[in-house]
Amino acid sequence: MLARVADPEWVGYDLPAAEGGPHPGWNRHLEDGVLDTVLEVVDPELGAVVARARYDEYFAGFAGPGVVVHYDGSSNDVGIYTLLRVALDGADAAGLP
Amino acid sequence: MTIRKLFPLVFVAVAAVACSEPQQVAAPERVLYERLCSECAITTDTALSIPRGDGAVSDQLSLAVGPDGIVVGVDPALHPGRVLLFGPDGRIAAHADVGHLVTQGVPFFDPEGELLVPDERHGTIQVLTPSLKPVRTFATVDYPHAGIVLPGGVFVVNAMSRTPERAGHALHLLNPGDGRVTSMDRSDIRQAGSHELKRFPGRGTALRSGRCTRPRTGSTSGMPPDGSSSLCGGMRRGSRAAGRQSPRTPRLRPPISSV
Repeated sequence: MLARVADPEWVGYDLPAAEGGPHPGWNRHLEDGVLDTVLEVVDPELGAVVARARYDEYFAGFAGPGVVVHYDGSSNDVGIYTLLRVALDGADAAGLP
Repeated sequence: MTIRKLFPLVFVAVAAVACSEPQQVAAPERVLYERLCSECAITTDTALSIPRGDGAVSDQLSLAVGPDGIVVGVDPALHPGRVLLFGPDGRIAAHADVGHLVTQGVPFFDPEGELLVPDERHGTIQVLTPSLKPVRTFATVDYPHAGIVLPGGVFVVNAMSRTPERAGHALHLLNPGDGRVTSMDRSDIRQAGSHELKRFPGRGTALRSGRCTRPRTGSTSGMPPDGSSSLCGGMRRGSRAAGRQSPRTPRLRPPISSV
């Protein structure tokens, strides 16, 4: 499971006003400074969290089983998408099914 | 009867309620989200990097990784009407014309490796081979945005349906076996993509508390006859999306906490 949570060191930005409205616009290159990501492995049959990790980066979502997407944009025009394999270590040693 | 005469009766009623025994609430059978494995840790490893340089892709790119590791994307801003295939260097290696898909949703793969691309406007899903050749189109609920295939072949789609019987429902389970559609009221995730719900390779289903199998409120109706029976195939256990490692790809920092 992937969840987005507020970055405790939330960075304030001077966001440009959105067209036609008072609300500030959103730019993807700001995401890492504003949001963190929590990844959890959940066993629904046992009703338990197997493992949990929190990242300072914002992961946009899953691109497939065990693969998450991160977008690192230094500006509106330049950026890089990274596909990250997610693995669970230690489950076998712990005797989990 | 005056208020003054009623007052003793009200006082007695309130006192009786206040002094009554509290109701015994049965303890839950299990506590959700209980931590199970203190030795377990989640690790990440860079599989592929896709640069935006030279206007190759926009910041609207949606990516999907197939069971055999191929990486495809949909970029409605810079490449409308196309499905992009990325090479090991992270650059566009090929593309397929799917201009008939007016509003492309988030692409995803089924366990057999077929690529599925939702068309939100038409309420359909276009199926393509791993080599991006169109195979067929089948109808789902309207406004499908993203989807996954669960073990057993049940197909879950996140759609902001506007039909009266499904308005306000975010997740829809399509069972190709008996043609039923179950819509779930999940207002808490209406704005989220169901592509955030994925099986973890070989470790059961990483679905939040398994709620997708127990709809809080549901409605069923017949699913339009189509070729979606191919979605009935079971999820391959232990399948892993083996993305390609690019030698130039940066590594993210390790998790800031692992609890």
